Order: sequence, then C-alpha cells, then structure tokens
Amino acid sequence: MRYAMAIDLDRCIGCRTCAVICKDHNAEPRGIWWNRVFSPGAPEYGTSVIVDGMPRMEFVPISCQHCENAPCQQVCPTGATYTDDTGTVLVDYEKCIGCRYCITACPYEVRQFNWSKPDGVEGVDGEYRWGYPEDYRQDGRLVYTPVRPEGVVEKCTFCVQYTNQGGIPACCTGCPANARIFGDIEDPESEISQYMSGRQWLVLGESFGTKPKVYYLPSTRGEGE
Amino acid sequence: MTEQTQHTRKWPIILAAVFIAVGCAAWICQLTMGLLVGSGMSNTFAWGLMIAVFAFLVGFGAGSQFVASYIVLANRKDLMPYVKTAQAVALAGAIGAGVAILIDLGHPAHIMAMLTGPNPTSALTWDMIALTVFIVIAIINVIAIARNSKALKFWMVLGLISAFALQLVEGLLFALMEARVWWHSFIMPVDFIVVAVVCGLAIAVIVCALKKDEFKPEALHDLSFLLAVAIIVHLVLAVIELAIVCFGGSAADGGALAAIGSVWLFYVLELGLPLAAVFVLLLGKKDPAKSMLVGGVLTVVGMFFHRLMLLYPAFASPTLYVPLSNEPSPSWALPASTGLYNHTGNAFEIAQGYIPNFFEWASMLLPLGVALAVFLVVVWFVAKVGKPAAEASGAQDTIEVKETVEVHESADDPEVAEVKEALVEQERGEDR
Amino acid sequence: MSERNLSRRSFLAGTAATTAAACLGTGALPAAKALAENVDPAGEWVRTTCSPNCTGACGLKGFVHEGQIKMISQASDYPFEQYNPRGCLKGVSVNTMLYGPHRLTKPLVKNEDTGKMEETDWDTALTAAADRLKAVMDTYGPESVGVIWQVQGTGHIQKGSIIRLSNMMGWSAIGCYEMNGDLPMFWPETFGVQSEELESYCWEDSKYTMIFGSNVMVTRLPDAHFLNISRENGGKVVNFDPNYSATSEKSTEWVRLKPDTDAAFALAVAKIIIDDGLYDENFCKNFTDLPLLVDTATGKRIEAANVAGLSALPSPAYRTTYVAVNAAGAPFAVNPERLGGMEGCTLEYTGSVRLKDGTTVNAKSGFRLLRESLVGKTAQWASDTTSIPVETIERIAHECATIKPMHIIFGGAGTQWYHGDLKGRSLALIAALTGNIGQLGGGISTYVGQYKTRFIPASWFNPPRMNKHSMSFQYAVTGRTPTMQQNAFPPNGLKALVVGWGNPMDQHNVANWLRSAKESGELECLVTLDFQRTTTVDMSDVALPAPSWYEKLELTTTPLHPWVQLQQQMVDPPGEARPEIWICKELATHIDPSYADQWPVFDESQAEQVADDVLRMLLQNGGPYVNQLTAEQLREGPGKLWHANPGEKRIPFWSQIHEGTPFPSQSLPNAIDVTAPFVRSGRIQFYRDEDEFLRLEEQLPCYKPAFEDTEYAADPEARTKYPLAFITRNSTYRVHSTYVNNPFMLELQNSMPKIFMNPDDAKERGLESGDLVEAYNGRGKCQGGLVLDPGMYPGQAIFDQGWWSEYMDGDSYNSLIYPWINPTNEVYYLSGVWSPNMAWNECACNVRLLQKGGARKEVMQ
Repeated sequence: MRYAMAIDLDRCIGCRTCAVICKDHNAEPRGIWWNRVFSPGAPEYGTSVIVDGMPRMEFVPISCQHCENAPCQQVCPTGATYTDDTGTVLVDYEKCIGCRYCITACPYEVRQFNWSKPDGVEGVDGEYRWGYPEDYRQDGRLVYTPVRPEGVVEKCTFCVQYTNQGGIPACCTGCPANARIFGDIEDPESEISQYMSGRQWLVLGESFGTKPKVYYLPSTRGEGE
Repeated sequence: MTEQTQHTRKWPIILAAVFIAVGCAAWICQLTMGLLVGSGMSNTFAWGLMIAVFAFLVGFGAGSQFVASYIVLANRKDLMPYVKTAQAVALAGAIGAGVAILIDLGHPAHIMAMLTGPNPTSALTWDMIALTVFIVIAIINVIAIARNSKALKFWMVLGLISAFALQLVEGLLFALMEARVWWHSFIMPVDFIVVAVVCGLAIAVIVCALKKDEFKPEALHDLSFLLAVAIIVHLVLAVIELAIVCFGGSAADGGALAAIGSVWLFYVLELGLPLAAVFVLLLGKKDPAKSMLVGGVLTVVGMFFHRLMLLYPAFASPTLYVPLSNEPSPSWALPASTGLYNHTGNAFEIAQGYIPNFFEWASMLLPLGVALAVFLVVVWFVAKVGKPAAEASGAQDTIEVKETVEVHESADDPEVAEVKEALVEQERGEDR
Repeated sequence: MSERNLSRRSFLAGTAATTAAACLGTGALPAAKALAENVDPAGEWVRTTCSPNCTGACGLKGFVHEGQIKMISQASDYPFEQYNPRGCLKGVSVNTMLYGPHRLTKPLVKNEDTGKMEETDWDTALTAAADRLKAVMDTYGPESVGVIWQVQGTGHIQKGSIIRLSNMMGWSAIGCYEMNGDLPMFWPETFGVQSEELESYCWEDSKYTMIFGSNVMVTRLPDAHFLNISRENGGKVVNFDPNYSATSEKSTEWVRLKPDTDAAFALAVAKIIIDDGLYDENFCKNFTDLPLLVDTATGKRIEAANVAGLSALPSPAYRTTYVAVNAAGAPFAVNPERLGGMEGCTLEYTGSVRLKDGTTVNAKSGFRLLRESLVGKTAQWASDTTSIPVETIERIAHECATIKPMHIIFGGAGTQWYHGDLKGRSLALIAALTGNIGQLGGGISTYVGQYKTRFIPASWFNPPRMNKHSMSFQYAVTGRTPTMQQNAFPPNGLKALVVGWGNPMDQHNVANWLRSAKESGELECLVTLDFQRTTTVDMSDVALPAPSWYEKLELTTTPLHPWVQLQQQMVDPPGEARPEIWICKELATHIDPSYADQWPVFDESQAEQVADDVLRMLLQNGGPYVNQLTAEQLREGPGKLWHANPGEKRIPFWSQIHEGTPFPSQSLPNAIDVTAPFVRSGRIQFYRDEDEFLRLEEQLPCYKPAFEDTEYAADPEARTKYPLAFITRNSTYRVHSTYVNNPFMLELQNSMPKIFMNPDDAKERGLESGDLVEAYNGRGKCQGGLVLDPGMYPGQAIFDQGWWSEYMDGDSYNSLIYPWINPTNEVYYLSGVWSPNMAWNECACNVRLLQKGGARKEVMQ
C-alpha cells in the first residue's frame, strides 16, 4: 500500500481552503502552515505574472510530498522522521531533537519548526486551541499531538489520525473544487489510480530525486498557445 | 614560574569563566523563552550562528590535529614545541563544537534518542560518532604527550585519520543536501579538509609567532609558507565553488547568487581576508613574526566569515522553483511559511535574511568559553603530568637540548627519543 | 461527466462516511492496535449552515469537544454530489473566531462620561436601548428608526424576529440588497423582478458562459468548480475582466476590457447578432417588448385602448395592453396576460397608427428602435471604447449567438456603478436575442447576495398588528432629491439605527455620514446585535451579544443552491449571548409592555424551543416551496426547495417561456401586484418609456461612460485630480467585514491591508511595491501596502474591502465613496427591488506615498 495524492492544477482555484482546513484539523499553531498555496511569480494572492506577454495566475498547493526517497528521513539523526508501511512520512514528536537538519534537507520547504511554545488564540475562556483534540500514536510513536512540544519539527502527516482509520486527509475531503485526490497508488482500482490513468502528471523538484508521492496534473491554461 | 606568567595565566581563566557564565545564561534564556525570541532564525533560514560556530570550532579542532600529527609524524623537531598546544587546540575545538551543536538543538531533552536509536543514514549521526571518536583520540593524544608515551606516533596516526574523517563527514553533512545548491558539490568535503588545514596552520602561525623565540626562523617560515599554500588551495576551491553556481544556470543557482549578493561584504571578507593573509605571509619579510601574527589573525577572521557564508547562500535563497503548466520556463520560488508570524507578522516569505540576535551572540560564548577552558585544562594537565620530564631536563638551555638530541639520535629507539626530547624542549620553552 | 468523476464522487462519499463514523466513535476501528494505542476524541460532529452574507449557505459540521467546537469540516451531505464538499477557508476556520478575542459575550452600554462601552446585565442594556429608541420614536416618529438585518436568506427565525420587531414598531427597514450595492437595477427594469439566477449546479449545463464583473473563483468560491466542470464537459467559459483574475485563469478565454465598458461590448455584440440575423426571432416576438409599437413623437408605448379599432384586453390593473403589427401591417392588441403565439407578427415596423381620437401617430416597433439605436455601435466603435480587438468582438458575437445554452453571469462589480443598470440591460439583451432565457444552463444571472426570499415568510415576519416601513438610507447623505419617491425616506430623517449582524460604521458607503452623524448627535441612537465586537459595536450606545450560527436554531436559504438548511445549536453561546428571538421580544416589551401579545410567551431558557416552533410554522406556511419539508428532515440535512418546472434543476422564467405566464415572476416576499407594474406589458422590456428614462435617453440599453455624470459633473477638476478608479473588491479572506479578525486569514495576508495598482500607474507616481500608500479623494482616504499587479488594467486603485478601522489606523476605505443616486433608480420605490442602488465603484481617487517601503514586507520582493 502506497498512499499518494494527486492535485489537479486545472481544477485548483487557489482558494487555500486546503491550507486552512489542514491547520484547523491538525492544531497547527499560529505561524505554522503544513500546506500552502501560491501562484508562481505572482507577488500576492489575486495578482498575476506576465509570461510571454500574457498574465498567468496558476495556483500551486504544496505540502509534504511524502517522498519515496525522503531526504528528511535520511538525515534525521534519531529516526524521529520515518516512513510507515503506507508510505507516509511521519515525525515522532518524542524523538525529534530539533536539530532542523531535515528542514535543510527538504527542498519543498514544507517542514515547520516550533520556534516558540505553540499557542492558540487569546479568547473568551483564556486560550482557545483548535484541532483534533487527542494524541495519535502509531506503533507507540507520537505522530500527532494537539499541543506540540516546543522546539520540534512538524509537517503534513496525510492526516494520519484519519487515514489510519480508513479516512482521507482533511485537505482532500475539504477541497471545494475537488482538485485533490487521495488513495493507494499501488491499487489500480483506487480513486487516485483511476483519476491519473491516461493523464499527464508531474512531480515537483524532480531533479532532487526525491520521488514524491504528490502528483500534479497540469492545468490546461496555456495549452497549445 | 615567574609572577608575570602567573598573572598572564589568570586572565584566560577569567575569560573562560565569563564566557561560560554569559553563554549559559543566554542559552537558558533561549531554552525558556524559545528560539522565536531567542534567535533570528526562521523555517527558511533554519541554521544560524551556532552552526557557523560549530563548523568554525571543529575546523580548528581537526586542523590542529592535522598540525600536531604532522609535526610528530613528519618528525618536525623544529616545530615540536608546538605539538602540545596544537593537541590542546584540537581537543578544545572539538569539544567546543560539540557544545555548539548541543546548544543549537531545539529539544535537547530528547537527546537520548540519539543514543538509543541513531539513524545510520544520517550524516549527523556519523558526525556525532566522528566527533566522539575524534575527542577520545585527542584525549589519548593529550595523555600520550603528557606522559611521553611510546605509542604517541600510533595515536597521532589515529588522530590524523580521525581528523580527516571528521572533516570529511562534516563536509558531507552539507554536501549531501541536494536541496541546497550552495552545498551540493564535491568541492564541499574537499574544502572542509583544506579549510581545517588552513585553520590549524593559522592557529599554529599565530601561536608560534607569539613565541617566536622558541622557533628557528626557518620553522616559522615553513609554517607561513604552508599556511599560504593551504589558503591558496582553499581559495581555488572557493572560486570553483562559485563558478559552479555561476555557471549552473538554474533558478536555484541564481537564488544562491542573489543571496551572496545580499551579503556581499561577508563574501568579500571571506575571500579577501585570507587572500590578504597570503600576501602578508609571503611578502612580509621585514618582521616575519609580525607578518605571521597579522596573517594568522586575518585568516582566522576570514574563516569565521567563511563559516557564516556556509549559511547565507544556502538559506537566504529558496530551494524549490516551480514553472507554470505548459510553460517549462521560467520558474519561480514559492513563498514558504516562515514560522515567525507571532514575531514579525509575516507568515509567508520567499526567503528570509538572517541577523543573529543578541541571545545567539551571547550563547555563542558558551562553546567558545568551553573550548578555551578545555584548552587551559589540557595545557595545565600536560604541564602537570609532564612535570617530571621537565624537571629531569633540568635547567639546560636550547643548545644543550640540541646536543642532547644529537646524543639521543644514536639511541635504540631514536624516534621516540626525539619526540620525548622535543617535548622536553617544548616544556622548558613553556616554562620560560 | 466522465465515469472517473462518478467513481470519485462515490469514493468521496464512502470515505467521508467512514471518517465520520470513525470520528464519531461509532465505527469499528480496523486495527486492534489502534484501539489500544489511541482513544477516540470525546465529542461529536454536528451539522449546521455557515451563514455570513456570502451566498454560500454551506452545510458545515463542527466537532464539539468539551463544550467547544474544535474543528470544522464541510458536511458534504448534499444529494447532488457535485455540491460536495461545500464550504470555504473562512467557514472551516470560524471556530477560531467563536472563541477569539473579538467575541462579544456580554451586553454593553456606552458610558456617557467616558464614551466607552461597558459590560452590564441584560435588563440594564435592554432598558437603555428601549428608552433611547422610544425617545426617538416619540420625537420623530417610529419610521425615523432605521433597521438593518444584513440579508434575508441567512436567517428567517432569528433574523425574522428582528423583521417582525421592525414590522410591529413601524421602524424603517433599510433594504439590505440596495444598501449593499448589490441590487442589479436592470432586473426590475427589464424583467420586473428583484433578480433571477441559475442555481450554480446549472453552470455545468452551459456550453458557453460569459462572465462580466464577477470573480467567481474568489467570490462564489463553493460554486466556482461548476465552471470547471462546464469546461471539462467541453463548454467554453469566457471571462470579461479589466484585470487578470483567478476567474480569468480558470476560464477558456480571458477578454481584457477597459473598466466599466461592458455595455459597449454588449451593444456591439447585439448589433452583430441582429445585423447577421443570428437572433431568435420567435423569442423576441413572443417574450419581449421588441414587437410593441412606440409613438416616436412622445417616446411612449402605444396602448391598445387608444388605437382605433382596438381595445385593452381584460387584465389586472397592473398590466397594460399594448400594440404590435401583424404580417399584413395591421395593429393588434397584444395580450399582457398570455405570452406566445406571436410568431406571425412583424418584429420590425416603421409606420403610422391611427388613434381613437382621430389623430395618426408615427410608430416604430421596439426592434426597429433598437436597430436604429445600434447604428453607431459597430465592432470598431466598441473596440475603441473597450480596447477589445474587433475580431474578438465579432468572433464572440457569433459564438455566443450560436452555441447553446449560453449563460451570462453578471456580477456585483458590474452592477455597482452609476450606470450599472445599462450594462445589465445590454447583456440581458444578448441573452434574450439569442433565446437563452428560460432554458436549462442558459440566460443571465446575477449573484450578489443572499438577499433572496425563497418561500413565504409572512407567518413569522408579519405580527398581528402590522406597521411596516422602509427607507433608502442614501438620502441621509444626499438629502432629499427632486426625483425621489417620497416614501423612500422618512420625513424627519434617520435618527436611530438598529443593526442586526452588520458593521455599517466600517462597511457602508454612508459610513462617513453615520460616523459624523453619530458624533454630532444627529443620529441619536445606535443599537447593535452581533456576535463579534465590530467597529459598529464599539460606536454603539447599546450592544447586545448574539449567538453565532453554531449556537442557535435558524432557517436559511440562498440563491446559489436549492437547499433549505438549518443552523443548529451545537454548543451554548459563550458568556451571556442570547438568541435574537429572545432579544427582540424583550426589546419590544421593554419599549412598550403592550407588545407582549405580539410574541410567543417564553423565557430565555425556552428560546430554542420557541425557535423550533417558529421553524415548523414557517415550513407549514411557507407555500409550496417548503411545505413538503419537515423540521426533523432538516435537522438531518438539507431539504430541497420545490420548483415549478420539470426536471431536477430550477429554471428561471420557465413558466413564462414554456407556459406563457406573463412576466414578472414573483419576487418574494412581495405580492405580484407591486412588481408587475415594472413591466406592464407582461413581457421582457428593453424599452422603458418612463419620463426619466426618456429624459436621460436611456429608453433602450445604451452605453454611458463612468464618472461623467457623477465625479466629473460634481467637480470638473476631479478628472485630473483623481484620475484613478477606486475599486473596493471582495477578498477571498473575508465576507465583507466578517472574518477580518479570523487569525488564520490574518496570517494568510501577513495581516496587512493592501492597495493594488498596475506597475505603470505606480511608476508614474514614483511608487514601488512595499511602499505604504494612501488612496484619497476629496471625501476621504484609505491606506495600504502597495502591491503591483501587472495583470491589472491601468487607471485603477484596488482595495480588498472589509478591513475594520482598527486594522487601518482608524481609516475607513468607504470614506472615499459617495452614494450617487441615479434618477432612473427613483422612478419607483420598492425596497429591495426598485430602489437607489449603491454605486460603490463609481469613485475617483488618486494614490500617494505615505512611507517608502513602509508596508509590511510582501510575500515576494
């Protein structure tokens, strides 16, 4: 079983709902984003970049690519970062020493460090914290906790707390444009295999040799132009 | 020992104590307040001053081991008085570097995980092993020197190998990062070794220049020349490194160049100071010792900038560049989450600059203080343990020693005897 | 739709169910180990409806843990699978605001000495509010109390209670549709209705979609994917926008045009369609006023009652029998009560008609007048005006006339101009000429607010003793105009304002007036109900804390989809916030205890039960649209509104086009007799013969340039002093000023209000990206970090609206804007249907530097 995600750039409308629902469900502290969406070359949301004399505004969501050949895992000195038997790259918060070597190794800039005590928002009843409210362990390893230890690295887990129980990641259930498809890439009958079948796809940073399991289906914009 | 030397030996101890105290206080601040307040780093610029200090110190450690091993193994009797100091610097640098990396950890409380489950594919694991092995061998070498051990040459060989291994691992720790064009080249590990040699020789040049009376002018000249050659080799490697990025042509190469441009002064200093040192060392004939001192200091400062410039082009530039569908080029970097929102209000940026903040500068004093303390302890230890040998030599002057050496050359084990005598000589030099 | 998509949908449904089951703790966990290692979080998912004023009305579910909502997901329970998942970034993170620092938890009353709002108890607050309101009512009459309740569709029970309150007190309802600038006046002018639209799932049925003034991908976020599906199904989506927007990127084709020139393009297209004979002649004959004769001397339509040999056909008083000419050239009375059967008439006629008084008048048919009016409107003229290439205009004219069904989306950015109605009328002309109206996936739609009333709410809105008024609060700023309808503004002016779920002190283009009137005392009382501590709350005399849409029972609808949904109480509102139904009842009885008999009898603890009673009453009495639905059914999930046409999807004007029912269709909650006079012919009217239209030469759709009749007329120097158009567009991060304080949204914007400009415009002013700049005109100013967008048409300064003053150094971006009133909007007055609209975009400005590099660093350099 190899979990993978396909992102259809033709369908993506750049709304950032995936990034936000990810943050909401995974208790990402303020300033931490496992998932981000930007337009290459454009200075700001809703602005464009001129290519060949024409404006473009392509939306590219990026989160952990769950690389088959994950540089972050290779460099992690304690094995805190590991790949589980679904191919999901996870971080054991109890083994991370915060050396940030994985951050330097990851070309996708998706790893986030808890530079301070993770906090919620000050509100009506003192501090409010969002997110899946219980710890989640995989074979004893703490791969999700609603209140992160300070000084550890975190990133997208494919929503391990859901996928391990047969669910799919929040960004995929939550994409209003249905641009994200998740599933077992080794199963030819799976939704993702079916969706990608016969379609052109690409991966980000192919030259790094990381073999990502997040596949991008290109937009039709600019086709044949 | 005169009162004067008593007095001059006090201030390094005080300095080390102050450094350690201030460094500890700053580290505690970082641990309690968090690195958001305690550092100028971010998710994009994830390694800062402490990593530069780590590489800086480890370079002097391994480099001094190179020098110590060279003197002993090449049987440079004329430089033998420096061996003890070199070995002390080797150990001090390595331990200081170890402290630096510990301080840099975000969650040091989990450090046991490093011992219980080291990951063999991580260069950092090998770095830990190499550093530990290096330190152990350096300690043995210290003891061997102090005790005039017969096995000194053997340990010095091991020392040489461990220093080489340590620098190789250090170099690979960076060079294996495909994500960072600035690091990802075969030059990196080679240059790490060369830079260590430069550092070791630079310290040697400085120390020997300060104690010029203990060395023959030819020996000092040799040291100067070796340092100049090492610097030139390093500079050639640095230029190749730059050329690789310049001619790389990728967006990431361009990003790295832009990052260099943003801190161009550092880069100029990194290359310019050692280059100036070469001229000073080679051309400063009038007062060679002074030239050595100046050249050595220029080199050391240059190496600090070199270590800083390990970081800027690598971290102040994005790693991933994304083209548009159906438009293979150009490609653009996408903003990344800085992790600094609570501090700066900026949640996302393409790349971040880095200015080490007060707490980082202050906590940097801890590894430096520890290194100084280790150095002092080693010197004290060698002096103390080595006392009998020194006493045995009596109050002979250098010429007498020379004669003694000559006498000993006919002995059964001439090499060991040489070393012993050289150490005796050095000891006396120290005492004077 | 491909099989792949179908299988994806079922997959989604399956996995969503599994996840839900797992999360609810009711599903069997697959691995025993998981059981041992992990506990299921205590709590449950509860469904509600996200209800800011955005038209989404998205079914969301919140996970309630230890009395708080911890996370939100889309409910994804719509029976029409492509509607799932419905909900955007703002809705799925509203939990951060429910418990955030701006949550209003206690009643507040202004301390007169300090001017600060102070916490108090309910009785004190209600008494203070009641006393002030009563004083205004006694002095100036009850109609001088204005009431805002955001928009109708977002609530019928709790929001309905403030409507009920207003309707018993005789306060003036400030029509939310026109107040928000959303009222597309071309609708009543052309079709006699408030507005009509395809529900978004019909977009996938369109083969050709033209979008004007609507950034669907941003402002109709949960619906946007239907345009993608249309493209995937082989349809073409053409976006007309001065700026390269997300919608431009996601269209098949982007057509760049000069701002506010859409009408010129539409007229040229109409001309080509007519000249090239591409129009649907029978549609024009049967359903439009184009065959009807107009007296060329007076410009008025000729009535059958006045024509020799003809007489008016039996019809209600709100219709008129007009005249057309048959194939033989003889005039005949056109039945205003029955559409169709006109294939034999002459569409294009020039001649004379003999009247009963013996005179003969020269007459032309509407079509003839239209053709004449279009004479100069060549593709070349349109190209010069719009900057669209001639070939593009010609090609698109042919495409939109021949590819069917063709659908036009005409959004708020097109409407909110002084001449916005002319654009709508011109575009509606294309939709009618091509015969797309009344077809699935065809016609013209406007999506600008959740204003629409989709069932009959009278059983709750109307108290036994009715005293109903309305007003158009632009007149508070402009003063009374000579052309206005007298009942559009109370004789003694606006003296008190009751605000439900709104932030007019930031958010309205009368904000300047409101602030100064509040300060001067002209506006004597401001009472606000809200769940967030907005600028308006802070400026109020009394603020009353209300529940959010996760904390009360409420009934919602939207124009964008066919589902009636509930907001449900998942958690208790924090602090002392109480349901509006209780607040309104208490406010009424605090004003006068005799109003007690106008309300159900209940105390605060019974509010939820009473709301449930009201829900049942509304469903039962809501007409055929909802009376098949039960409260129990809605508690489980969405219930579909009934519609008249066969098939799954509602088709606007279906009964007009397919059953011959006259226009207009009913604009609820109004009775047909108040809207029918807008199109007395019972037809789609492109020709308007009211005096004001004749005076302004706007009988037929035409093009008039921006600013000439407003900014430049008021101040000729504005042409040079303020050469930029100030556009306050909607942001993906806010729904107007809701969500501005959402911490996640703030992070996504680096917490910085921004002004967007074309790089050339900026260069001309010596401005660079990252400068802190100020847009200003003679009325006001607004600051932001400068972002340069090369995709923007020059001549604009764009500000993403919605920022509260506290994020803008006290400025209000609405301070620049003036509520220009177009006299054609004053020909009739029916609140929310025909009423002066807000021309937000009709605003000239310039931009200057405040601080070099002073903006928070932009995402990119």
